[in-house]
Amino acid sequence: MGKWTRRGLITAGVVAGGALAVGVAIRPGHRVPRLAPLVTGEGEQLINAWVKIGADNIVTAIVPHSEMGQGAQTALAQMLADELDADWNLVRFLEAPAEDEYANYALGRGFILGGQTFPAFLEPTVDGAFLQVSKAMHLQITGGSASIRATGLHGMRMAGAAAREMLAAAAAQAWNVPVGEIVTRNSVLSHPPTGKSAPYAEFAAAAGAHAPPVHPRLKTRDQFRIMGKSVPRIDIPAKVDGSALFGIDVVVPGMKYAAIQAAPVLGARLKSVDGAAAKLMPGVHSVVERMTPSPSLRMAGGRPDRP
Amino acid sequence: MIDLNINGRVMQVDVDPSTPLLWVIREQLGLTGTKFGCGIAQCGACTIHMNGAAVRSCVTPVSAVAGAAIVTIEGIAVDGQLHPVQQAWIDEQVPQCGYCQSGQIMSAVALLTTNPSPDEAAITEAMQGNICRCGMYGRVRRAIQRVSVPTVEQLESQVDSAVSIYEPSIMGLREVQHG
Repeated sequence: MGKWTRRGLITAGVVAGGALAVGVAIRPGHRVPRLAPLVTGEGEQLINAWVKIGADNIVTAIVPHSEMGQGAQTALAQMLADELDADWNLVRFLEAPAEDEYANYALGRGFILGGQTFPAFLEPTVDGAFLQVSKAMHLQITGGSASIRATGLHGMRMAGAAAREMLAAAAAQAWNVPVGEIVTRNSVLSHPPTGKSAPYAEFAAAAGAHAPPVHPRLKTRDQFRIMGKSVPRIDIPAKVDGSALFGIDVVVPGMKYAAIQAAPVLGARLKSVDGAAAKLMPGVHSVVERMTPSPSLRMAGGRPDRP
Repeated sequence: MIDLNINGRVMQVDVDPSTPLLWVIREQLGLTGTKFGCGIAQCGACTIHMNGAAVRSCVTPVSAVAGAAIVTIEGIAVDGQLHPVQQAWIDEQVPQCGYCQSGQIMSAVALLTTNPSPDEAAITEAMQGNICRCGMYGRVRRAIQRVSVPTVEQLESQVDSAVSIYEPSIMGLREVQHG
């Protein structure tokens, strides 16, 4: 494996409505040839898991993995919420592709690095494990426990811990007290010596002005309050009222539908295709004969050169 | 034009009469909670209610349901209040991936509407056409039992078993009193 140290950085900013957004960005400087076609050509790459803290004190975990019933969306939100000392009842989740800033690389890049000089902003945070996050992100893979072990450990927990420290720093500054005396608990910041307290939302925008910590302090196992607990899955309510969006439910402008005529036996080779009759049917756009799989298809396990 | 009564609203759709109801529900009406699974009425993912009965919308031509009351998964909650079966599904944490669950729930609601106290055999009979590749059958059964109304026989047997548990100690007390 190539060197992937000094490639990750924690990023933060304030988005619409004064919400604090914290994520972990990836810069895949080492071009593994096989990975090269899968990442765009411009230096740094985005993005990992995000947390948003809104004006309503709702913490939103933006989850970049599929939920197949394995509980990834719930577990990742738990990892984020625990490090953030969030009130679990005020935690929501969002599937990453539904988020414009997230789905659109250019926008995301502008947001994350906006106003920052990249080399100065880039700081080493965590090492090679970011490779796993990067791979998982760009391939949009969910599997092999990568959600928890890569995105969760190095993305969600990092983002949650970083957000917590930024909120504490903002509160300490506003209250003019040492940051070490700030207590975070259930989405509330407090300063016991003076009795001051405020919900996270109150300092979300101010926290965005603080530089994200390079090495946020993660909790030790004995400090876990939400992680490791069995909680009702947060994806289930949408799955009992028909509102959960599955792949088949997505419609994009100009979308076409494809139907595959597979070989009737294993290992068959295509001899010829006569699509004339099909093309005469109303609405048929085209008949495609054995498309050459893209490099990404090959990466995903397709073996186009074998029968 | 075909008039459809879906979830209590009458709508007109302009489709070929042979179009499967499932396509009309999903594509013309945009109600995507009902799922396409097999297209040949073998999996139950597309289950909806037609005049209260569970039917497979993937093999039901839209012309066959004109005038009938059609209800989809989006139509069983009342005034934002989940149907008791939906709540039971949450309480028992039934879904895993969730893809088949609209159909599972619609079959369960149809069952409980006609038989509020289904026994094991009745649950099996009503639900065997709904396939769940995650294998959540045990949870489906528990969720249905959770909202089932106990029969008089079931209540009596519960009382009997409660009495049988306490009887020895009651007898013992009597012996002490009379002893």
